[in-house]
Amino acid sequence: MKKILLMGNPNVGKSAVFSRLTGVDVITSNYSGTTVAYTRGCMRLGGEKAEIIDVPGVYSLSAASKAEEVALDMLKEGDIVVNIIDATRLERNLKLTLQLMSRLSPMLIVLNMWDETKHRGIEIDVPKLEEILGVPVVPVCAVTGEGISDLVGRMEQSGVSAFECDVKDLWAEAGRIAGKSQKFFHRHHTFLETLADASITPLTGIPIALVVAAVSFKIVRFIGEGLIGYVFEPFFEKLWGPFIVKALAFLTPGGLLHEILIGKLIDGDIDFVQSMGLLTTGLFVPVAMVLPYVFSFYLVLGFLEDSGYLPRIGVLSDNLMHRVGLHGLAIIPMMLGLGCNVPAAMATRVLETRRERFIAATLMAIAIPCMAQIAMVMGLVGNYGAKALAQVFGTLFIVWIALGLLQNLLIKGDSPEIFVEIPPYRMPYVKVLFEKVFMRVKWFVKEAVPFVMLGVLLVNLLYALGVIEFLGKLAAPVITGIMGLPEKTVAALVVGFLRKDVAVGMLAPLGLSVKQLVIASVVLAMYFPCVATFAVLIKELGWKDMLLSSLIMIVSTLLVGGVLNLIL
Amino acid sequence: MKFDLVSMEDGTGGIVSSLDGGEFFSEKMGNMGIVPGAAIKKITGHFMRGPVIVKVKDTEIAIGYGMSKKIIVEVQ
Repeated sequence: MKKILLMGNPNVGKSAVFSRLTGVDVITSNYSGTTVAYTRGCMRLGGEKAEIIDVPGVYSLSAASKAEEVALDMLKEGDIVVNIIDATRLERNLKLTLQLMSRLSPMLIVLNMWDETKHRGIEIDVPKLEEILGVPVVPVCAVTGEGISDLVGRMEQSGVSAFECDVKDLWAEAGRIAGKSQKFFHRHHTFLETLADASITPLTGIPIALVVAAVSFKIVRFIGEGLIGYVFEPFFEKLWGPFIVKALAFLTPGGLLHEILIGKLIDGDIDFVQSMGLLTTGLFVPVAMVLPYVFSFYLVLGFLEDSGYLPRIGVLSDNLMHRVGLHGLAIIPMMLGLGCNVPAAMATRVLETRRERFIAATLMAIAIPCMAQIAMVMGLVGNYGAKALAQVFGTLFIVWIALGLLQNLLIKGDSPEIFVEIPPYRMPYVKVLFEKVFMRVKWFVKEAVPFVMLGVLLVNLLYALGVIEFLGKLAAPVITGIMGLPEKTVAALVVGFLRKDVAVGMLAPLGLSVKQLVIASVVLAMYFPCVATFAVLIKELGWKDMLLSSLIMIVSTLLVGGVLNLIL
Repeated sequence: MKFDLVSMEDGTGGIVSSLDGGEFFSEKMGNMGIVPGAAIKKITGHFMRGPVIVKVKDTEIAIGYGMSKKIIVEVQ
């Protein structure tokens, strides 16, 4: 089987081309480093099946970084190299092209973002470029799919370039080629460019960032609550509830099957939050309480990603991030973590050193609650007003800062400075944006629903077997003694290993005071990552570092729980 | 007049004259097009030792404070 490599600088749209060629959905964004792992897919080429590999972006083939080393290794295996270029930045991208050509693999050049050259007053003479480089050059616009069939058609014409290049000064050579094949037209500063400057200058940029954060938060809440109040709650209350009552009328309340499927009746009725049955709470929590927030969060995050705003927040927060031993780009795993900690743990790979990755992963796992958990805290603690919510999230923020400062002091190693390309603003394509949102939501449903159900089932079984009571007695000195929580909270802590959202939900029927609810919410966020995040963290950090990270989690949870118990 | 990127004024442009760092540093800068002879424009600096934003070959790049100190620019 032929191997086709998609290679190019970061943020030129390799993943967008990949998903067009293979039909496989992959996450694309408008900033460098969205793809951190190799993605493989298949396509048909001349009646045969060919493998396509989406290689994370590199600037050069000098083997100076880990990514470049791996890219060099990949090159040996590839039969065809598809070099993807951002057509609006021809000269800058040609340097890697020249390096790739000198490796003598058959290649083809894709000028992506072709539509944008017109807005930017750039005219590229494609035949001229083909003539100079001696390999096929195909203009495409991957997000709309324009030019993709042409790309597939010309794939087999890929050839080894006979271009003789001055290897000593690749930039000068790239400049000469670009000079011969591209013309610029005068045009005025676009609105997006004016906005680009304003949003990166501290005096205007910081107020803009605060407004963006406030608006994003408002939109997430507005859509999330709207969906819950007008769509999901009515559906469960008016349709699903009566339906299961009728369908399962043959079960007697109190019987084991009734307990497991429907759960406890509260005042003779199903209470979707408290009943704890598989078909009641087990479905209601992920679908009606969490999913709407997950959807609205990813909608807003997707917009921030595709517009190119996210790395700008990174630059603006670079100062703050330095205090905790990271640099501005570490804001990306933190933001992703607000959605789900799993992809966030993987995104720590954009950071260069082991020290940075450790600090970022630990801070994220301890102090960044995922949207599933946030949604549940909003739903439960939110009933007691904004002050209680502020106590939960304020504590986590303070923990984030304090643990960051501490780790920066104590953990040895390097934390390099920020050095990153800032992408131009782009108007997100609605279709691409929604595809991405649905991909993430689908992923959530696939991961969350089974785990939530498993969690609910586990609770019922553990209660029935008396395990919870036993563990409660065992953990009482810590749970009651230090944190002032009732013994029964231990059930939530056990389930929290599986899913944090159900765990928060399990606090509902315990009759906790506001103070206890706040402490329990904070403790649930901090004490340990859910099993899915844990598995990814072991892979990213290794056993040894994960052990240290877990130790930090447990110690800081006990400390914070104890302090909150004293001061609230 | 020669300035490093930090002391250069916002909005001014010039030509990179030298990189005061080792081979690794030059390589890293070179990958992004920051090489002696390249045209560079400073968009803005950030206070409290924050990063400097420059434009090189039609691309904006954020460069950490310490690295910016080591990039020397000839301003006309």
